[in-house]
Amino acid sequence: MAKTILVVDDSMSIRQVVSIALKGAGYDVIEACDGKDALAKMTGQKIHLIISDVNMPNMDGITFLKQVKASPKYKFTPVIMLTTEAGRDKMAEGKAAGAKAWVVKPFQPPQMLDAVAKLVLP
Amino acid sequence: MDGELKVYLVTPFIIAVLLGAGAVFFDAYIPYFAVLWAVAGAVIGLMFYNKLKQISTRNREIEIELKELQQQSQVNSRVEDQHRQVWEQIVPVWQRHLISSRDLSEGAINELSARFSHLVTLIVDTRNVALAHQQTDNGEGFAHDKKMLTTFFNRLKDYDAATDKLFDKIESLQGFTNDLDQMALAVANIAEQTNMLALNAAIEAARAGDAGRGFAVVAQEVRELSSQSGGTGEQIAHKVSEVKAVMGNILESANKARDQEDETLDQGESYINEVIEHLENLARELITEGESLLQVNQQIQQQIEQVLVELQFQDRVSQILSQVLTSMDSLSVQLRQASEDHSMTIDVNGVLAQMKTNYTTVEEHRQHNPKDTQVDNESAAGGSINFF
Repeated sequence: MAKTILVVDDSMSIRQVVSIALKGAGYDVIEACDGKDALAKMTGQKIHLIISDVNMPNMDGITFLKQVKASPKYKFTPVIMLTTEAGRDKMAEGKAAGAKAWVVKPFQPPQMLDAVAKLVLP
Repeated sequence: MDGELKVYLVTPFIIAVLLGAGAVFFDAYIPYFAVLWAVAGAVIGLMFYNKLKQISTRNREIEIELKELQQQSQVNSRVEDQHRQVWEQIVPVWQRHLISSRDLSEGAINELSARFSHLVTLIVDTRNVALAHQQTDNGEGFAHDKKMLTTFFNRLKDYDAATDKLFDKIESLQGFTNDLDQMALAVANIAEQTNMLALNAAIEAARAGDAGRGFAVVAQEVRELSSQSGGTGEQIAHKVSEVKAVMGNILESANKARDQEDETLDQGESYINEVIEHLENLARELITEGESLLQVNQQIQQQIEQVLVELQFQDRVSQILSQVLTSMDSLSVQLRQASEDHSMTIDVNGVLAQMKTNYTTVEEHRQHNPKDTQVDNESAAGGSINFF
């Protein structure tokens, strides 16, 4: 059975690129446009990995990450931050909040798929 | 001022006279001192006059400068008002244009992304369907058709062989007609000999006289029987001859039919082999073209996916434009505040520092200060992955 990955980004073009790459590799994809939308869509779902943007409206990526890590059901779900944020400080903030990897846009799908393969839950 | 100058000029004289009078009063024996006091007073008064004249001239100059400065200040004030109006009225228009441009490009890129994404889905679906057909068919359908044709053709050959056997049997009947002919000839001979025997018997019966009369009747009957036998033999021979003729015709027709059948089968086999070879070639070409199309299909998919990857720029552009809009807002607030406070001081370095804290992309940091080489050390490169 295909593993499910939640993709959270306010940019539709980014969501499309990530989704096509993941679907091409055999993953099921759930898309959300911000942290709030993501929390609503992941409820009750088995999520094997989360890829999230940082700067988003309604609920930013770091807040979303903290909420995921505070959730008993999803606290062990690995989270990859995919963002334009290239600063070391922001990266450290993501690490402290529980992110497993920090990918700076623009990304190449093969690199992203490598990272996903390393981190996705069995 | 002239009146004042006179006062300034007369006053030292009066002071000098008073001093001279004082000197006379207190030292009447030395009147020369009074003169000296008067001269000194006049000199001091002259000096006062000159100094006061200089001061007066300087005052006039300062008054002129002051007027000029006041005029300049009024001009500056108007310019500042204009600058503020420019900022307050034009910058919002720029902001709206920026927002509009950002939204337009974002909408267009999103639309493009959606269409390209749909194209990729269609291409992948088409390839999957083609591959599924290729896997399930894989030339087996064609081989099956070929096998059916071969089976059908083999049945035609079997039928031809059975027909040949039938014709062989018909041909073998011709041998039987020869036997019948021989048998008819034998019957004729027997009839002839019987007739001769009956004739001899009749002669011998005649010699015997009355005793041989009965025998003569028998001999006569035998002659008639032999005559009938001879007729029957001739009829048999005649019928056999007719049968032989018919058999000959049948065999001739059968042989022609067999030759035609053999030729048709040979040609048919040749045609079928040609058609099968032609179809096999077509099938091979179709398979090759199909594989080629699948490769092209995959290349197109990869190209479109790369286009989608390149469209990621929109996300960065959008963030950069948003940051520019935020900075414009911040500067507007500061300008308004300075105007309200009449301080006209704006913390430019503070604004720049605030802008820097809002940057997200490496490009923004680089553009903020192109000479700053620390940017690349402090920021991760685009496409980089850091595992924690």
